[in-house]
Amino acid sequence: MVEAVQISCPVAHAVRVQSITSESPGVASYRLRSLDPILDDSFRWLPGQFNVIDVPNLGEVASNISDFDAATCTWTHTIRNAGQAAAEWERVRVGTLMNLRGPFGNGWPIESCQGHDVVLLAGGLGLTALQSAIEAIISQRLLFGRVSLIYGARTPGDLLFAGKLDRWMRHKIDVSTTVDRAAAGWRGSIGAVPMLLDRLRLAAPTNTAVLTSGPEVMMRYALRSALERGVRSRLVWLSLERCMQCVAGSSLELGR
Amino acid sequence: MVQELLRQKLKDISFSASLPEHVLRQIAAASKITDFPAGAVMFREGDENHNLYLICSGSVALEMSAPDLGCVRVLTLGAGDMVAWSAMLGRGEMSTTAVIDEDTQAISISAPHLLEICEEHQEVGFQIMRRMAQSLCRRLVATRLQLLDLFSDETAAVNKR
Repeated sequence: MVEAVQISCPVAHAVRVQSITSESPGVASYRLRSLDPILDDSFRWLPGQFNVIDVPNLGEVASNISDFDAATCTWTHTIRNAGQAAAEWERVRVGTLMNLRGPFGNGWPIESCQGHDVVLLAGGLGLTALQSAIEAIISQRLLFGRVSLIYGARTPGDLLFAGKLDRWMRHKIDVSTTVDRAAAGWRGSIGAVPMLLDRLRLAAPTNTAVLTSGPEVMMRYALRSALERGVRSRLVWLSLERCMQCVAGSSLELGR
Repeated sequence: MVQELLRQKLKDISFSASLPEHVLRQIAAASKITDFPAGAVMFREGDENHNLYLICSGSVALEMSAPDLGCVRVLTLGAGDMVAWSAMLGRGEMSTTAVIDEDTQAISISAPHLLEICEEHQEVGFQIMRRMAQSLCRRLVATRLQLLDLFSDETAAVNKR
């Protein structure tokens, strides 16, 4: 007999869109403020966990928590609002009411990465899943070895969080960006994320943790490259939040 | 002295790091270290070029000309990458223009000389061609990832009510 699996399913909470900030063409950060006084003191989350947002006329969207401000009980979610659902997102304005459930997923194993070099591999919107991990690392930077971020986007205009990338570099995160295609004038890197990983000097591959989030194909080849270079599978973590529809889990450990 | 420096540089590059010592010595004998300043052109599309380059440091952009688009940057290469691999095949006609993005140091290997070594010592030739195939395989996968345009529509999964 199969034992029933108990899945924690938080109740929905009402939120109001407080602000919308365009991050790049087709991507915006939505600040959502809780209208629920009970939630204010009880919401606990881990970097890498996600909420499910019930968007009017669209349905439920799983989205990583970019930030949560406990003082104001406000979440930030960075979401692609173009493509097939552009019309529904167009109707979402400051003041729009929504429902939100969460947090879901396991979160990044930040404590397990302490004492290790850390390589963060992000593709496109995958950076939104890793930014909370980066902030957590920065908040206790001395507990980690060398930390490198390789971040790929479609074009230079699609690179997210330019200001944050600069700030992360000031906190001794080695940031490398790359794009798939670039117009004249771009003097940065062009090429896929796994190529930059191939070039990255790993001082101690067996003591290096890899966290990755982005399109699944990118993650597959990036992880192949990491494992070929001696990174141990038990120190490799990936986020599959994009595939989640049942909200039963998020970050999976490759080695298990 | 120079040969020893070249051998050490070859050992520091991922392309050649794990090659046996005697192979490294043979390649070093056909090589020299070349420094390219930023803005220089390593070779141009359509040129005949008979050197294979292994980048030690710096950055090189590959550009292709296309009607109506002009010169388009398609790829940038960095430390450990191989440039001008077609010098080892056929006539060595370059399919791209290689522009130096940042000051770059590369090991320049005479392709005809290296091919002679490969012919003469076939075990060495096998090792070198195997490394080239691995490097090209990675490049091919990376190009496919670019072609897939993975980031064009990253819409999150939606549970429609």
